Amino acid sequence: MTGNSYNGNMKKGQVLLIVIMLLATALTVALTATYKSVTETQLSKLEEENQKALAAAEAGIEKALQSKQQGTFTFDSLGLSNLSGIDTSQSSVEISNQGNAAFITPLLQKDEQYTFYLANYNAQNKTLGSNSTAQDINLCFGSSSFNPALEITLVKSDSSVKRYAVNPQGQTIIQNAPSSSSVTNCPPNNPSFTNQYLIPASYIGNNTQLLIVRVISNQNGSTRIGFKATNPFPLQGSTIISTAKTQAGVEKKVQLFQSYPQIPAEFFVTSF
Amino acid sequence: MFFLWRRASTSTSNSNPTLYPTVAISGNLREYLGALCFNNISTSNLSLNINPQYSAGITPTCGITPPTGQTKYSYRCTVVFDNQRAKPTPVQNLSLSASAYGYSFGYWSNPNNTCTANYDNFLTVNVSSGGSTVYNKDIYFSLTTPWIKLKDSSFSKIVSLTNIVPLNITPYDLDDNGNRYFIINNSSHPQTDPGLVTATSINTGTANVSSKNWWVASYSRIVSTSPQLFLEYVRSRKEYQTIADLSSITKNGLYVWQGDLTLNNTNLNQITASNLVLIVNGNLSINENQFNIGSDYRNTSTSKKIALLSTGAINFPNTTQCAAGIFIGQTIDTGSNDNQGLKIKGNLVAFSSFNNQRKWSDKSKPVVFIVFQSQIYLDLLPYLSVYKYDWQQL
Repeated sequence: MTGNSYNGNMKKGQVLLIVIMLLATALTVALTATYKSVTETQLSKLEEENQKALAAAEAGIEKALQSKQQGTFTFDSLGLSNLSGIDTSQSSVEISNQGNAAFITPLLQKDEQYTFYLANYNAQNKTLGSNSTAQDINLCFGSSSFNPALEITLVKSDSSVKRYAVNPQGQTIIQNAPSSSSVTNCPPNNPSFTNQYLIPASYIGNNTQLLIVRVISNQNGSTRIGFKATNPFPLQGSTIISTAKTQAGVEKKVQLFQSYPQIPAEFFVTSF
Repeated sequence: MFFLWRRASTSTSNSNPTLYPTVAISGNLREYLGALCFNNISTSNLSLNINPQYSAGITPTCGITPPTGQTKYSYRCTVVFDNQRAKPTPVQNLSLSASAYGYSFGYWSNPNNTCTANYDNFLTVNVSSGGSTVYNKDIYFSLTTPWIKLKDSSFSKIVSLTNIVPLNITPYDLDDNGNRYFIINNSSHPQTDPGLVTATSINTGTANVSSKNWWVASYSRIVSTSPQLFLEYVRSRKEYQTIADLSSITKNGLYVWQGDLTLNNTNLNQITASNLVLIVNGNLSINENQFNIGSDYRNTSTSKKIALLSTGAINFPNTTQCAAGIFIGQTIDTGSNDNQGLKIKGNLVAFSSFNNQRKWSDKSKPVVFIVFQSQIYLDLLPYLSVYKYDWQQL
């Protein structure tokens, strides 16, 4: 009798233990699912806020491109007060035009050219000055993955045109052109520039208006061109930094550089 | 006669072997350029042979002066008749075989040593009487393909460039210094440099492409902006005005004309603006002998600073002598004329085809002469341009 009672209690205890374990497992699963759902909802909300802030920042850039003014402006003052979910009083656009002794172009594909201004350009009345600063200018170009040659054209106010052709180090792309030198005085770039070419101050003179650089390569690829001198260059365009903040506190900042007018290589180089 | 010569040669051959009869043919090498001929030729590969009608016992040898270098002045061929060991035919025709890289062919002119395209490459000789016979016959090398000259520009072609520059150059006009290059440049004030030449292959004969001689062959160029694409860019990004009446262009700027357009000096002068880019969304015809330029073909001081773009063809009639401006067309046709060149003062860009049927009777002159004018690009900078952007998230 005692043995039977013991066995019965044992069985009841086992069942209870199994039930408890099943309940614990079910609870764990339920809690995990609930936690995951909450986390996903939060991430989704955050992503939505990010997208909203980024879109608003880009809207600020677009508005700044149209306004063509300098300074710092809130979204409200730019007429962007009705952006849904954006704290437009805390969102702003900064349009800066500052000359610098170093400049790096946007990425240029093979056969593209960049019009670099050595005389002041007035974007409001669309006029180009005629005076440049006679100083040494280092041109930096190429990278370990794309190493092109350059054709460089100096356009001067007396209608004279001076040209250079330069090969990357260790390669002959343009026949009879000199080679560039190793990099010693270039603006920092990622990836690093691999070639440098100096145009002496005596050739720049004080009457060079434009310096036009064309990328020459038999391979497809792109490079930035770096310019470095001692004295600041004239402005090369507008830099717009747009910061947008959502009402939930998510902030995004984007920067856009818009160059001054660029002469397309296809319209500049004689072809038939 | 033949019997007598054989007997004489046989009798002398036993006693004096120096009686090998010879024919010496010599003369200048000259360049035939249509109506005019010039001394000397320039080539990287010259082949010259005298071929006897009956070759037995005959040994021709030819020499060129100078033996090295690309510019050649004269030649001398000696044809030896071996009447000692063989029995060459004493009366026969000798024919000339001459070719030089860059020229169509070489020939003896007819009448002899006259500047003409008529030729007679046979010389009948008779060495029956022995001894040496001397003939003076210049060889003319014909270069009849029209050629093009640029000034102060760079040049790029998507396909191959074949533009043989002759040795002897006649300047197009006072803008042309007569230098023997595809691209010449101004060495006096305002001093200019010639630019780079790229194409899938480059053939300018023995002339360098320019004084700098910068070139890239086997070059595949990428074209990302065409007149059509620029028009689309303008419509989306730039300030412009669509016009249907040229007289409505009163301010410097960028204008779009829908459909075909014919321009002449009369309707050009209806435009009161001085600096403009006009995009013709259709074909553009320039119906004027001297378009937008002074009667001396050089003076552009009163010319409008214009760039004319066509999404179709730009057509010049065959009477147009000179036009000032930047002409950018998907295709460009210069018209057909056997004795009239075309000068462009500004620039010319043909994207897909350039149909040039212009010629001069004097092939020493370039048939198309394009003088690059950087100032027009400066004047049109706000209009004939795009913007570049660099975007990054901070």
